[in-house]
Amino acid sequence: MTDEKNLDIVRQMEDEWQKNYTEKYEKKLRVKIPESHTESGISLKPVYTPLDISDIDYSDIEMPGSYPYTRGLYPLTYQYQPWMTQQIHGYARAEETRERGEKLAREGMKGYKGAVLFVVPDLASAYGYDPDTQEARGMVGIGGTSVNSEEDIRIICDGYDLKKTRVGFSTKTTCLPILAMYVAYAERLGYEPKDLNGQSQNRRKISWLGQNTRDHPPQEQLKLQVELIKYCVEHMPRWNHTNLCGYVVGENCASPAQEMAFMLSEAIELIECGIKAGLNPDDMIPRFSAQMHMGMDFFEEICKLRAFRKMWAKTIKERFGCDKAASQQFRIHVHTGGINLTAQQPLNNITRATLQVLASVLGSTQSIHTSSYDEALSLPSEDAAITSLRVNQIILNESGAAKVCDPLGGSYYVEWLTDKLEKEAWKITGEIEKRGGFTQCMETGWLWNMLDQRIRTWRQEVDSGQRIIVGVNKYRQEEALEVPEFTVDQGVVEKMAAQRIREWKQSRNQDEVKNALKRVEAAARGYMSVDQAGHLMPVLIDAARARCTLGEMVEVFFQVYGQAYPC
Amino acid sequence: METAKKEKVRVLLTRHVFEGHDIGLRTIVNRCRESGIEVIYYPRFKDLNEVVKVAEEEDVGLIGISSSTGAHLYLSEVLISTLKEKGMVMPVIVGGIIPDKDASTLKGLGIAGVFGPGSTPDEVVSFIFTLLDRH
Repeated sequence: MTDEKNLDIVRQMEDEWQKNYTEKYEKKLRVKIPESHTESGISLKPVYTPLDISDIDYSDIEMPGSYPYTRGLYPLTYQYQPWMTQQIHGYARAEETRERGEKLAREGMKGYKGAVLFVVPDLASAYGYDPDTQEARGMVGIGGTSVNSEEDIRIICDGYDLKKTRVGFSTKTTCLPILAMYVAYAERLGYEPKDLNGQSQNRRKISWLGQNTRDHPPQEQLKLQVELIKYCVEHMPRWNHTNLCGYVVGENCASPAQEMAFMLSEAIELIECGIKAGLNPDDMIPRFSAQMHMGMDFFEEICKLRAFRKMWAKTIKERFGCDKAASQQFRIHVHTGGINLTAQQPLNNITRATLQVLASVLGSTQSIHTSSYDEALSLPSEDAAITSLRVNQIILNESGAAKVCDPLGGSYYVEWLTDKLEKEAWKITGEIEKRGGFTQCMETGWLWNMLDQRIRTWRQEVDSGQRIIVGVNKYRQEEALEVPEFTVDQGVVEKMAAQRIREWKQSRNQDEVKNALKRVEAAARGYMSVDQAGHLMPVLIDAARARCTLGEMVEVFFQVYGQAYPC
Repeated sequence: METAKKEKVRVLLTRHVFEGHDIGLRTIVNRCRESGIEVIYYPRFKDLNEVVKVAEEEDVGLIGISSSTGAHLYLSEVLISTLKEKGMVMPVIVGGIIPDKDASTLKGLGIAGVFGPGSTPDEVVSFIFTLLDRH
């Protein structure tokens, strides 16, 4: 980026610095400065200069809003509109969850144009069990909210303008049925699918791999992902059909480079399958988005967002031949690391969240969920959740970090590291492809082993003190600070939720329910390969119209596609 | 003598099928194995009868359950009562995200050891050794 003459001057300055360095530390103080490296294993020098970025072409960085979008998707970043604060929330029943959502909205949680309702289902709903089933015992209302019927959705969404409200359910195994129920609910209010604004997670494979939970074998999961994409692209053009989930990968101790490679590899496979399913790439690709992890390696995390946007744009342009800007522009939602939170000295987690939100902002994210300081102890209390919002508001309104686009752009270190990290991520992406692609690498366990190795290494480093976590293996305090721990009266919630779903089931025409589920089963059996996508979602929506519950729909899928676990 | 005893230590470590967090559990499994404890790792159970059945068949000396999403009270209560119904005497330990205020409730239920996020894997291992030496 600098001409030869200037580089010569820089070279002389670097030589001078090297002399000073050797003189002071090695000769005089006789110390050896330990080598350091990033989370992704990239070796670092103590200082960076124009020489380190002399071979980077500015066209690879460009202006904000220009390909390859390293510096941001649009000509302006937060000067035009702040990032969205989209806090996933949910506990007990729909009523309590709605109340929490409203409270957070009053305290400033918002999307670009309207309200956000990002709801986490409870443990039973998450795996497709209605609260009146034996399997759901003890699992209702915890880890999220009980949402199993259109009635639960109604309570959460009632009164919101669904054209403006961003709605999303944090689902994995149940992603298709919950979308079907939402569409059926919206239709009853007079909305058409094309009006709806929000997102499906459609990230089941990553959850299956990273959370070791119930789902179908990977190939069947892939088919269902493609089915959802096909339906949304054809009927719900405002709906974000797929949220590539780097978050769960990061929560499994993956390095930033690994996370990027997982996300890109899965996206490549999904796009290829979508093309086989008859979709035009430029119709499908703009509605991919992400939930990326935000860890503690401040600069590498900033570079991760910059480098990933670049990799996405290049892949979409060069591999899929798409020139449409919206296809090349990768929108990022960040979820600050849960794995970085400590139970010890929990207020320290506010500092961690602050660094992570700042890194996300310096990396030009579109949206942030900020984990709460008490999450290593319990689900977030109201106070803790509001403090998470405040972290964002302080950075936006007080720090000045949002005044300038990509404020670290041009930093010798940041540009060098963005480039290095991109290369590292390409390497892993290439390796996954060489081994048959994302789903294949899930089936062989190669991806699982990669994460397992990281988890083991992380533990060893913490135990040996090589990796310092304040309050955990350094600066420990015997006297613990008590923070209020949020709990749900699980037994009571379960009874009420079970009663509600029983009433819901009694209110239906049972023949309609049976027939609808039979049609779902037939469509599921007839869906043999991704090129046949497009026939399952419509009958699933019919089933939702007939008031089938989440559990009933999911059960059909398990009968047809079977059950599998990663290990 | 102590080594001979340690070789016999055999435990069942498990979690509920809906529990989306397993890094802590896997870490404990690894550390136990490294420390010479024989671990029956049962990565998921649907109900607690299943846990008791496996514990019986595998003839373990202790059951460890991991819960990070708030199901610890329910799981502990049902497990302890299922063991009682079967007339089985078996120590149970619980780990994961366990609020401090629940630790004494759990002990009241008869849970032998509670390990929250502040516990280290080595604490769990030495607890198991101490407990099973005593039994």
